[in-house]
Amino acid sequence: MLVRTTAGLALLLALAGCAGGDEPDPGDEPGDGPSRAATSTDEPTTDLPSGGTVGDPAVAEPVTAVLQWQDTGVPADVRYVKGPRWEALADPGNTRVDLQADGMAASVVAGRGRTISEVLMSEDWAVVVRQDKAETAPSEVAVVDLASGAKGTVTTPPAASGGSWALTAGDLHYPTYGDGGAYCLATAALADSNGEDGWCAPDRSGFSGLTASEHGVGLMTFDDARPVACRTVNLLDAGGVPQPLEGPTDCTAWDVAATADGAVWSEVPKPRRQEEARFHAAADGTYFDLGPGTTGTAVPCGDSVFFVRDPQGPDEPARLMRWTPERTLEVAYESPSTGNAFLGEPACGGGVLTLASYGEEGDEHVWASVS
Amino acid sequence: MPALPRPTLRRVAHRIADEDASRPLWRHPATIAAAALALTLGAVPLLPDGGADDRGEIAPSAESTAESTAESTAAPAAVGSGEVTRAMRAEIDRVVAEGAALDRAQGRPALARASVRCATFEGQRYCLGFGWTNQSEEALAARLTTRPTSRATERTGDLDADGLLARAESRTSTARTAAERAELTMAARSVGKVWMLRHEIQGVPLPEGFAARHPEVTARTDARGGFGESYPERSKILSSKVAQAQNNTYWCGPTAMQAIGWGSQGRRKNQSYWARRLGTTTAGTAITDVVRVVNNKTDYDEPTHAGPYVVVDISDFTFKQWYRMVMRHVHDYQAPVVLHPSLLKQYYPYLDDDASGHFQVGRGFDRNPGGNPQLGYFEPWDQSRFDPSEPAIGRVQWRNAYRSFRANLAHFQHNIGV
Repeated sequence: MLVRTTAGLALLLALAGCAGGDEPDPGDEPGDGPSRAATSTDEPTTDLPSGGTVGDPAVAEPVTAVLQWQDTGVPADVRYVKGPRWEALADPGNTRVDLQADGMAASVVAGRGRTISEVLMSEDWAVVVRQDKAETAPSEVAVVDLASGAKGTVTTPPAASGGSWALTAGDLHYPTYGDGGAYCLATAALADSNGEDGWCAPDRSGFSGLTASEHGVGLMTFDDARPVACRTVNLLDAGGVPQPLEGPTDCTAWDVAATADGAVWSEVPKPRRQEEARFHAAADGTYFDLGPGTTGTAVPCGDSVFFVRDPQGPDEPARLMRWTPERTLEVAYESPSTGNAFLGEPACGGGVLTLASYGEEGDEHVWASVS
Repeated sequence: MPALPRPTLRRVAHRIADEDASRPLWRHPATIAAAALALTLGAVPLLPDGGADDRGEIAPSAESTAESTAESTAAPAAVGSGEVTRAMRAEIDRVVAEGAALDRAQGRPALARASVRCATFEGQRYCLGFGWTNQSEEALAARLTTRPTSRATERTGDLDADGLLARAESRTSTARTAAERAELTMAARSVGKVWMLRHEIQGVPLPEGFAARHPEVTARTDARGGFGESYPERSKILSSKVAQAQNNTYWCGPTAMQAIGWGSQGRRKNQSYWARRLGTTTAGTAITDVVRVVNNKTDYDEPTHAGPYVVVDISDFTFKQWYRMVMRHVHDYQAPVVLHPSLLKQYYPYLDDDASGHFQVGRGFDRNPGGNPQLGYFEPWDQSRFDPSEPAIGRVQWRNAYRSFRANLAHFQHNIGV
């Protein structure tokens, strides 16, 4: 309870900055905010580029460094996740997932009244979430130990239906319901099947957009403001409590992912253009403008954070952007189509990215190793 | 075209208690399901839209007033409804009679084959439940049988393949005959518009004698032929105030219809009102019913706007053709488009969960010469009302139109209401 109380106070403080705020004007530019990232604790590394201030961030010019992409052989609209050794393939109806590696295989069937809602993979584990179609019963969590192919489950705490999930190494982060129906963040250590609920969203608020990597866990919290919620992006502290990132304009943030020296986040400056975000990075208390991107696509993978960018002109491809530990912005993928094209949300499986690309010149579904 | 009688204004005295009421933020799905069951018991019967509609005719409703939306302008005349010829009547009779096979159909494939029946009117194929299409009956039946019923868990109110088949199976012979005859009659009277749409959007030559047979549409053949370049950079219709969030998880159809009706009539009617007119159940709403109600309860079907709305299969449309159709509707006709996407995260990346087939209201375009073409639309689905995993976003949205085109193609019916 102490954890929840503390967490609640922390989030209330975070949300207080949003309380009473009007819907952001579509034309508003991001305003100035605190001058350093809350999560940055290391001293700046001198041989890395330094960013600007929150109000005047350094513009990161992208350089082309396309990864070695390979065809998955799977249609773009079929769920598929590639890992270093294993791959997971769902059927078109999301009724089952088949996992296989050299000499090993495992399958997870959704079962009657359920559908596969999430397929997550790290180097050591795969997680398949079986969601109740009626959304009344908790989701069921099947795990596969990728070292042995052995299957298991995560049963405590019971998973909420739907919501945002993230897996890094052997830790699974997912939503659960706590005391009094509170919406809480659970963490399960898959190696010992030890799960516990932690921080709970205060009444009339929620969370989404979970990301997880070796650098930390990010999540977006939001209140019940209408017509547009006031959103805050956070990184979990050592106690599992969300700490608001310093830098994002109040109430406009969406994506967030931890990096070695700070975080990447996005803001949606125009509520009527929900999918058009502006991405930023905080690095050791300095700030970078990473340019436009697509809301809801930030994914940490390997040593970097990736996000999707729509074509910026009729002759431009859709691109996958990469923010590296060297504080460089790279173009990691370009779609074959230009203009009328877009990318799906990338999936990361233990340092391997899987990406669906849609366009008038044809779709493709590809994977590449990040490191 | 003869002026058809307009039924008198029908007011629904009954008002569902929780309609349009403010709701707690986090609603448990069990509560929603219980409410859905209760509402279904009271609202499922398909209410007639009016006297003319009862006779299977197409008539603007008495509630279709001359009021136009604040943002609408005097649009060029569009197409009117045509006559139902003797040959058309015979074709309708044939297709309706074949519905008897549904009484004997056993199993999903047989049910699908019996429910997908097509009529050919002047060389254009109309298939029950799917609309105007170039696909074969077999291909459409396969969409009902071989495609997954739903990849998504979250349902927003579009009638899926299971729902369509269940409805076909559960209707009495009398109810089925009446509904199918009305649907086919409405289609027959729209064939002129469909030919014009194929001609103007897809470049299909008009058949010999078309102008003489369809005076209701041929006055417009040269109205605007240079799609794209002759349109303004951006255009929109409908006031943003008509964009509301759906009050039930399965009311995307009624909520889209609420916006369209509000835009036409200048006043709001409750979502429950539209749910009754649409025949919405907990399984959702069929796009053929949305088009039927647009035709019967708004003035967007009149020659001053789009003419009779039709359901069109867009599986053989290119993106450019699809976008032209949107521009034509929004700018020339000053009439909204019934968007019918599959609400999956790959097309709507801000969503937390994949969702089902869905209805939205297309109401604007921005050709955005420096970037990619944009679509303006009203989004009824507000996941935050039903699920604590998604923040509220605006109901009025603009986006990469190509995403919406692909979301439309991803729907198992591949169709749209225009």
